[in-house]
Amino acid sequence: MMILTIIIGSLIGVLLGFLMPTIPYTASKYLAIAIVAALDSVFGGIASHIKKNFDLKIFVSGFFVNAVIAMLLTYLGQKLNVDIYLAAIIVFVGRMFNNLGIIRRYYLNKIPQKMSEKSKK
Amino acid sequence: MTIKKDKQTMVMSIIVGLMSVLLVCSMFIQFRAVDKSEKSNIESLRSDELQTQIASYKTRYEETMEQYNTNQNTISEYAASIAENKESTDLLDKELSESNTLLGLTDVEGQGVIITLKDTSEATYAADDLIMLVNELKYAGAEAISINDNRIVNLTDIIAINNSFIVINSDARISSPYVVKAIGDKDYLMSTLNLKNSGFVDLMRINNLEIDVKASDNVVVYKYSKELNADIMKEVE
Repeated sequence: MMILTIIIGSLIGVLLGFLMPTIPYTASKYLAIAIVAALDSVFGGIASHIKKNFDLKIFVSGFFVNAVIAMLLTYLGQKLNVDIYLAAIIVFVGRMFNNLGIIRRYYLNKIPQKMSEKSKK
Repeated sequence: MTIKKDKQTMVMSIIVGLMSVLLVCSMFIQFRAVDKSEKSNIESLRSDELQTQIASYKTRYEETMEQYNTNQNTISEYAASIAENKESTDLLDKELSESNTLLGLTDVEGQGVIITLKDTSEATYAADDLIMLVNELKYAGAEAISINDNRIVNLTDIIAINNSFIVINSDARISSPYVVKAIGDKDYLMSTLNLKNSGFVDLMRINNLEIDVKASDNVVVYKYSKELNADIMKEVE
């Protein structure tokens, strides 16, 4: 059910993305940082799901609030003439790698278990 | 319990689905924005690309500047040489016009004498008389002489054909009255012509010929109307 909604949602997203008007380049910087923040939240959510402590409220709030805060920080950085968005990217991408590592290890552990179960049978 | 759980899962699925719509949508918008802008204008270039561009523009600018300076130098050289040329051209022009004046190729004016010679019923002027007059005038320092507006130049001939008419400058037939104009110091000219007994005026009058000599401050002598050609002679180097 969940996976199905994700796939359908993604397809609708692709369609909408192509139908939407293109945004100006200056705005695309903010959108980019928001996307990175959102992706970080997504991977965080998957990782927490694996760890069995997934909470929808935390996931949803993290998804939106992180994106908005990242955009605000980028804006502030622009005003201060400091590339704060670099720091945001480093943090988000670092966390993404962490979470991906957790996911990877989980599946690496899972496959041999299945294999051994099969061989037992 | 299961209904509640089902409901919870459904809400979660919808929320997650909406979120994925949002995420993927914004991702594609971003992809398109980057795709579109990257190719075109300078504002969308990243700083390292800008650096390369600036460096290349700088090199090009310097090259152009160098070229410009070289061209500028060449132009000023040309300008200098033009000025030089103009000077020498002016000088040459001046020399040329002076030479032309001396050769008799220009109209000239100045003080001098006008001599009118008329045949009478008793006697006529011969070519020799005119030659003698021209010689006298030259001797007295005349700078320009003309007979009936035929300019006397260095190659002028005055000859009688069949004792019936006089030809000057090879093909101009002239006849009485002869008006001889000469530019030079008018006092010298007058006194030379009017010498007692041996002067030209007296010699002619003795021969019963009519002669009238007038001094003038403004005698106009026209230029030699033909071309001066040198076909055979060459300058010795």
